[in-house]
Amino acid sequence: MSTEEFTDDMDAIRQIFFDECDEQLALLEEELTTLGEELENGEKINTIFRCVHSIKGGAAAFGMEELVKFSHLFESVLDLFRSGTHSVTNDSVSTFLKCKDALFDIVAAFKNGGGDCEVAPDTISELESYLHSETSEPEQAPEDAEMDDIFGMAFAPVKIAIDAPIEQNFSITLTVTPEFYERGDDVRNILIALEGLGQLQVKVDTDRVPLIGDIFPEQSYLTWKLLLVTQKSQVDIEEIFEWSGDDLQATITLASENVDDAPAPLPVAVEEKTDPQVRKSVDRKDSATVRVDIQRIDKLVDLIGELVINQGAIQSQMRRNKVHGDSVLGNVVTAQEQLIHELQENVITMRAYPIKTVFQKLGRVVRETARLTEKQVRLVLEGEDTEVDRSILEKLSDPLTHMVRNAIDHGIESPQVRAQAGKDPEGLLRLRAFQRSGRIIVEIQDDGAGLDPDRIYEKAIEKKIIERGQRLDRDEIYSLIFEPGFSTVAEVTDVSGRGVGMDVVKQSLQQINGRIFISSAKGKGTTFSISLPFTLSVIEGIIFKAEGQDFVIPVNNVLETIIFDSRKAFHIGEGKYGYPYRDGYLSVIYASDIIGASSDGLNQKICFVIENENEEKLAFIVDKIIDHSRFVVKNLEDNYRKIACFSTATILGDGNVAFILDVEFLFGELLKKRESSLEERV
Amino acid sequence: MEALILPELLDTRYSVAFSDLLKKQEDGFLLDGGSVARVGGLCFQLLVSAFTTAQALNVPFEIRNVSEGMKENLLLLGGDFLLQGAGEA
Repeated sequence: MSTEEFTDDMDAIRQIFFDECDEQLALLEEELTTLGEELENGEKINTIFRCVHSIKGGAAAFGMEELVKFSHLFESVLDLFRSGTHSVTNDSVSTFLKCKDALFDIVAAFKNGGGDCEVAPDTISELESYLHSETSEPEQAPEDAEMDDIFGMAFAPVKIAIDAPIEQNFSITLTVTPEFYERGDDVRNILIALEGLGQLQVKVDTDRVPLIGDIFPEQSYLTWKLLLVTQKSQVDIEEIFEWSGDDLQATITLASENVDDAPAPLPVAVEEKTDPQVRKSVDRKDSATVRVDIQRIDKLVDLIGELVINQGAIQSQMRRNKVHGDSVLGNVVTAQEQLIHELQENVITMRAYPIKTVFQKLGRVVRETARLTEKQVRLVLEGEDTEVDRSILEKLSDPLTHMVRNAIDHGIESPQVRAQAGKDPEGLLRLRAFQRSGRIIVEIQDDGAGLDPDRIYEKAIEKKIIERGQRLDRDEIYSLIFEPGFSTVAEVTDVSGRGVGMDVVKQSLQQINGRIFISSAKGKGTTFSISLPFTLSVIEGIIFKAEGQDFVIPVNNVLETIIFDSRKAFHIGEGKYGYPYRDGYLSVIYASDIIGASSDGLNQKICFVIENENEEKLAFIVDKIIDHSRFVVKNLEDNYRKIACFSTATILGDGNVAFILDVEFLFGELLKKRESSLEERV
Repeated sequence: MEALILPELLDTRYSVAFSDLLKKQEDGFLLDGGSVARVGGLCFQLLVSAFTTAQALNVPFEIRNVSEGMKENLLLLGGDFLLQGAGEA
């Protein structure tokens, strides 16, 4: 291997380590935000300890001294909580969260090419205060306690108070693969870590080592037989091997005191004697996963998109050449279409992440906001495993954060006010995610004061958003909170109330084809419902023609399709029509309106009855229906400015571009102009 | 016989070069470990191979001037036998 290849490999391995760090930090955050909420914190502390320990282990392998040093200190303090010397309090959780932030910063600094990242002195002081409070207790650390030395850095010995510590002898056999060294790790690091757990006797089996003329320097020929005398548990020993994965084979058994009695390096032979927990930790093949660069998956999604377009082109040519669908070619093409459809669904699923990754960050937001506003809030999360496309998830975090802050700052009352109102002093904030009608729904529900329509209305007049006397229904009044500059709080707080935010929330959600709805009851609380597409890559839609052009309408919004009888449409004003539907009437929007054609629309023959998330309906009149299919979404805004009545575009089988209708726009902008006239007429 | 001066880091990166150097030692292995701060598994394995080769061919094997870091690392890796007759720095 050349030096250049080695450097490339090392860079790739470092990247894997940073990815691992991201996962460990996310898990750390998740566990920390719920720490203290349950009576039994033991397992959580163990998980937190393991996260920090894994980061430290990897950092040591890459010589990231600052990271090793700080994670070691953090780990030492966590050990005091793990052993029961200290109990979890709000203060300690706050310290741990600061430490998590510090770890994040140090990892980020190394990721960006340097390690110069100083941890805030108060965070270090808080950690050290736990250590000092421990060592100041009557039982002193052993005088002969050696300093733990990693990269020449000394750490203060930490005494762990365990009732009647019992020393056990563990026999450990280590064999390593060449890959273990290739990915930057070294058996030396493992031995140093094991030595840190107790007294270690090392014997190396050199029988397989060839003479120098025959040796391959990157092969691994040695086997180590170790005897570890320690007060630590088998789980503690396993943790040392966690980051090594399958590249290091370790068998751990309770042993006699002589290292020569250690088992032979045959993992299969000793498996039955090994604690099942050890196997779980060391043998990971059963739950093997492959780490794939997200850009590769994005590329795959794009390529399959092109495949779908090509499939459309084939079908288009077949129609043009009058090839029937039940011919041999037709059957083959249909089978291929099904395969491509399945392939596309699978690949899109690969890019889906559970919404948990966003929800778990909000746990901390809730905790911090509640602290700043001096409110008591209980967070309930539901549907955390609901999966959303990564591209949507990335843009969901900021709007949700703002809405959660708003719900606590403006929605949930102070404990005193709640008590006076006969409510539980502790407010409830429920975050819920689920699927409905092919879309993802995220709800933010609080049991606070609820929205006050009168107050919102007055505030909107004051802010010159509306004029006094303007007739608005309750939902329209609620939606005023999304207007730029709207805020009902008299005082700007640290948390929210700067008059910006909810308008940005709405805009951010619109960028990912999201819609937001409000339901609220005064004194009982408010629910914000966000409706999101599962993916931004593909849409199932109906292609229709209007004024000679092709357009697509999302099939989710089409309730039914009926023949339009223009004689039944009644005129309600200039260019405005109503149409009888079942026992009532629908507002009519002609497709010709949205493309700015001069036609009066009376020649159009097909009526889509379309429905939005609020179950509002309208009649959308087009010339004719062409096909029903899945369309690959092409973002207009990458190359062109946003066109108001279209969300995106797609490429059809014949190579032409068709715009995809923004149904919410129809209900919002166009319908609004007609409603008043229709009401007057009816 | 000239002593082979060992570098500060006998780590994975150095293993290929170290192997090449050891293969050129025809009359035995005289190594100077005065600068060594760290010994990794692969270089340790090469030292073991050199030691075994010396015994098989009946040629000398000696690590002179062993630094404290090298000594600690060799003991940690179970290579106390490599230090027999070694002079410390």
